[in-house]
Amino acid sequence: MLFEVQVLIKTSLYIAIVAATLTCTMLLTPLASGDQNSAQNAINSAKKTLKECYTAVSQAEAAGANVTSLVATLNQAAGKFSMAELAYAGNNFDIASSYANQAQSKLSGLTNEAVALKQAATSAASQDRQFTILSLTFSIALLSAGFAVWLFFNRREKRYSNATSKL
Amino acid sequence: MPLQNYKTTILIFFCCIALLVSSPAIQQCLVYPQTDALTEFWLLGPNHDAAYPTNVTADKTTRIYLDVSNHLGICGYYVVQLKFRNQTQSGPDSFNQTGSKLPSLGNFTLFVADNSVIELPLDISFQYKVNPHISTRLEIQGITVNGFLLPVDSMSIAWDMGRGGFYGNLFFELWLQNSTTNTLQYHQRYTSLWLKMNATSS
Repeated sequence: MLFEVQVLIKTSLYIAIVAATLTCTMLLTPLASGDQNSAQNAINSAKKTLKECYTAVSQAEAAGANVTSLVATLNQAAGKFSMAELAYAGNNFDIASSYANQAQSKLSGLTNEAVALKQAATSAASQDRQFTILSLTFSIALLSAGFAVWLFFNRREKRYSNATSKL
Repeated sequence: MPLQNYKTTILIFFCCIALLVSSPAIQQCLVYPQTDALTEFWLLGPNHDAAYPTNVTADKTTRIYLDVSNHLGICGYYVVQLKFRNQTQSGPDSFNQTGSKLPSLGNFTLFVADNSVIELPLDISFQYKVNPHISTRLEIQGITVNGFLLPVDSMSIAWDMGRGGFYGNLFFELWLQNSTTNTLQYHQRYTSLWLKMNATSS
């Protein structure tokens, strides 16, 4: 009888421990996966922003803007982003989130800056084009004037020589 | 002396002035020597030279430098993928210009302006131990890069009879963001280090 009670107590204890472990696991697992999801979202968001900023910087560069400072900022953000990816790969989700957010904040305003530089470069290019057209027009006018002067003097010379020969 | 005697001199004078005035426009028509659009990718040892680490010990940190030089004519968006393999796993293929099929352990994003170089310092250490049951097998547990432990899934290195040691290949593949397709593409460049992994204890 005593032996049966002992077995019953042991079994109950064992079931209680298993149940407690399962409950803890069930409670903690969503927390861990929540961290992971949050880190993944932060990384995806930072990656998207990096791509958008790169596109804006590329467009500014194609328009002829000096993008050195923008690329430096992009690189600072890229450094933080790389750390976020490393932390995520190493299952350090909180650190990954933090680095991804830092990368994101580094990029704030970069797109607007790139757009402003692009507009400035486009306007400068337009002015350059106008100046080029103006200088070409002026040089053609100069050439024409030179040729006209040459023709004028040529005719005058011919007239002068004809008059001299008649005399 | 009549002025018409100088007609040619006057014409040359006008031509010279016209050439001078149009020089900014002519300058734009100049074709400068074109260079090939390419990216240089290289690796330097701890002393910033070609003395690369060849022997590693478990948990001992080694510094290496990765350099990317952009000559594409535009700002480049690069991703360096860190990979590790044993003697039997696939590496990047120079002949077919394809990357390794192994998953990347860690990615490093870089933006390099045209005609610029970016250097990436990496502090790397390896976590491994000799298999307690099979002494000719080294079990790789992870690689720590810049303070972050990157787990390596079930990889073991067999004892290399020919060279007398456990050899692992650490390599870096360079990927480039394609602006047209908005995807990362293998840029057909990689650097690789064969490392003798010294086993001190099991």
